[in-house]
Amino acid sequence: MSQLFKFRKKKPCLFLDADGVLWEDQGPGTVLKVLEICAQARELIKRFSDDDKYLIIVITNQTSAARNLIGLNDLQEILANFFKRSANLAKIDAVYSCFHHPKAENSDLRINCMCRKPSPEMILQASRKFNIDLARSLLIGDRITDMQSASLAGIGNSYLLVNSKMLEINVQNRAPNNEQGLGLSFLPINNLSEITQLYFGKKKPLGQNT
Amino acid sequence: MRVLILAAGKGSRLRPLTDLTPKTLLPLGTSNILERLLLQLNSSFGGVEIYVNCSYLAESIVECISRQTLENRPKIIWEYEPLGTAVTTLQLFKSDPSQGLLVIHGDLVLSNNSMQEISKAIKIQTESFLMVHERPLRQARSIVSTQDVFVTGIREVSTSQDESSQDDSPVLVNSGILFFTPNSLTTFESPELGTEISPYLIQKLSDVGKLVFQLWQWERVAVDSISSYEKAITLAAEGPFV
Repeated sequence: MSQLFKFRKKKPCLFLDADGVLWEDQGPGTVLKVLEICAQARELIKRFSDDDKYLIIVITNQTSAARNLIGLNDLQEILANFFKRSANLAKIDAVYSCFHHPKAENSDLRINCMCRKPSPEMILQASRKFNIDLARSLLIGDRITDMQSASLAGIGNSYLLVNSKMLEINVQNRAPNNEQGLGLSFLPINNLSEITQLYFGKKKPLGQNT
Repeated sequence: MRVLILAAGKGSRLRPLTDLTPKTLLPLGTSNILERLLLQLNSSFGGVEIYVNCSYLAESIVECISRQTLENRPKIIWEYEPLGTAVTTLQLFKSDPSQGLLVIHGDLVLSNNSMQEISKAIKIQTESFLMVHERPLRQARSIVSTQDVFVTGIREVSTSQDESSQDDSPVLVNSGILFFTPNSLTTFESPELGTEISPYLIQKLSDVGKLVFQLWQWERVAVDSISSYEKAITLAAEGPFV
């Protein structure tokens, strides 16, 4: 009797940062104030979701509990309810969150963990669980640490959402070259509709691994 | 083919102009050095894939590039500390060795028709090539030695010596424009961080007889001093961009 082995085909993924991408970054505790995913993000998610070729996963550092702005259980509940509520407007396959911070006020969360971006760990966990083709995937973030995380994970295309506030933060939080000594390669974008244009537009710019 | 514009330097010789502005963003009329290069490249090479490496005041370069139209917008190679031009070039080359790589210094201001001439050179050349031009020895910094059509070596010299005491005879110097043919660097190992193009890639290709030179015959200014910046402004102002 022959044995049949089924190989699940790898699928590319749209990885999204949360604060600054899905909603405006309002500083520490943003997720406690945000009411909904912004319209541009919803539209982007819908386009990728309708295309049915991409998984859609959120990768986010969430430090509200680490800063003692809220308890960890409450924060996790808020995040879970938020994305549950948003499901009919923005179909997201999974959310990976790191709640740690190396200088957290909350001593339980004051950990030099493996998961906090710029570590690629959350992306790699998602990749293993969902059998993701990282080379054909894309990541959108608003910080250099997002780009570093993508580079270390081997994501094929990275996009940095640029605005003056984020540029200021990036100056303060420069991530070192990754451990292989490589520079980070990414395309700066002004808004999420440029991603829609790149991936679904009639005339695609050269060099995009789509 | 892909293009790499080297823009990670600090431009120390141009201080105080470069205290708050990276050298490649120094203004040229209503534009700047980088934007002018991008316009010329896109015009001559039809939407070629361009990379700009940056480190010093990188955020300004990112912001400038984000203003380019999406279809012509280059990718950024962000270097927290400069990796060294040889490291950056080799890593980009190896990410797709089937494509040629044109490397241009991000402080160059070129005449309007010169990019088209570079395009012609790329089409006819079968070997990697280095653009060179003549300069008096007393002003030379990157001297190229040649035999027949081949580059045989390159050496960097200090300009700290009294210029009036040096020989004025013409020598060939590096013009800051270099083209690597597909697969030409595939066997090169990654050098140490901080290694520059000249002592590594240029010299090693020369050693195996795989680098030819092309004589630069058009106007160009490398903005590496206040006086050269003034010359660049004049060059950029000559007529509309074609």
